[in-house]
Amino acid sequence: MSNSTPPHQITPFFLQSVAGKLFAILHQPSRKRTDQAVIIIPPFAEEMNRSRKTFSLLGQHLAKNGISTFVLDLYGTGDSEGEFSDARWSTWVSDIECSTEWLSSHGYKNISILGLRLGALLATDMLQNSKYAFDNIIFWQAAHSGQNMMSQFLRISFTGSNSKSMNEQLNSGSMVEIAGYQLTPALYDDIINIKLQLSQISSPITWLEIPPNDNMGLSHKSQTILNDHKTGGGRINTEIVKTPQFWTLFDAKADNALFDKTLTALVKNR
Amino acid sequence: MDKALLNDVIQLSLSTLQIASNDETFDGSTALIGSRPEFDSMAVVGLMTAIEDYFDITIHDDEISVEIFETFGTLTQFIGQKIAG
Repeated sequence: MSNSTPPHQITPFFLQSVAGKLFAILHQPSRKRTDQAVIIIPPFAEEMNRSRKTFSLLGQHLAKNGISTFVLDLYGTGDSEGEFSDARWSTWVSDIECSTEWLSSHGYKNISILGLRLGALLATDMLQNSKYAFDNIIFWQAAHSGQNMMSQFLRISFTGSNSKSMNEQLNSGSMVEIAGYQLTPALYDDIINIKLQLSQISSPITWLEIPPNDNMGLSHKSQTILNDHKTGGGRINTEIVKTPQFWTLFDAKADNALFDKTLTALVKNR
Repeated sequence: MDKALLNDVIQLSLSTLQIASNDETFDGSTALIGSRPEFDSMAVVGLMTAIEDYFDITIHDDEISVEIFETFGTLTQFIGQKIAG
């Protein structure tokens, strides 16, 4: 009779954040207790839906290697309380802080954060004022700025009205609907003013860049950000990962290369 | 139409959108948006970013229209005009 326990335990639950209850999934190794976890900070809107499968696979991979993964739906998204039209940047920053406190109060001493796309912007913004010392900061395809992110998001509607008129609508105080998401002028304004701020971060940073295809390397924008940071004296470990851009593609998931490099980043500074 | 550019655009699109070539022949008349599930609007936005970076061009908001993504030919024409400035 086989008595093997699966190496991986998945627990969905709700935690209280400032604006309401958030839905979260904790992936844990089931064979051994661990005090190490990574919080996944989601990408924006539909990109998160396209990333769920990948985060689930990441959770599995890390659990097999003794690390827990905390996957969160930000307020107003996924199965968390609130409507997307109620979401604000400051609420989302609080959501990450609440998640950190939850893990900390549940025995986790070594907590890292992993931000995908807009999640990286949320991470760096939170880190400017955070009192918690995170083990590792990992970026998967960090969004270069909130402005850039919104520009790309508005483009999604190009098959209908063009994004210029979307801009006009937002500037005149009207909500716009893109890919089924109600983007309010308030959230839009919150986001376009956010820049990727690497300077105040004391924890080691791993920048994983996922080019659109195997023939391309670091994007020009990424290179500029990384060069600027170097001149400021900061050190970031940068790596190119060859894997599909799952957050934007139709029915895709990341390859193991991404999970392996993420695991390496999490254990090397342990 | 610049055949070399057309080929570059086709290869860039296939690899970025993870479209297997299988035995299909792709050329300037291959229909894109509305004809293939891989060419949904979210994926196309990702492709636009790849195009901007690969060809070192900037696509302005008022230049984007669904007609550009009708076929590989229309897409190549658009990119060619942008490169030429």
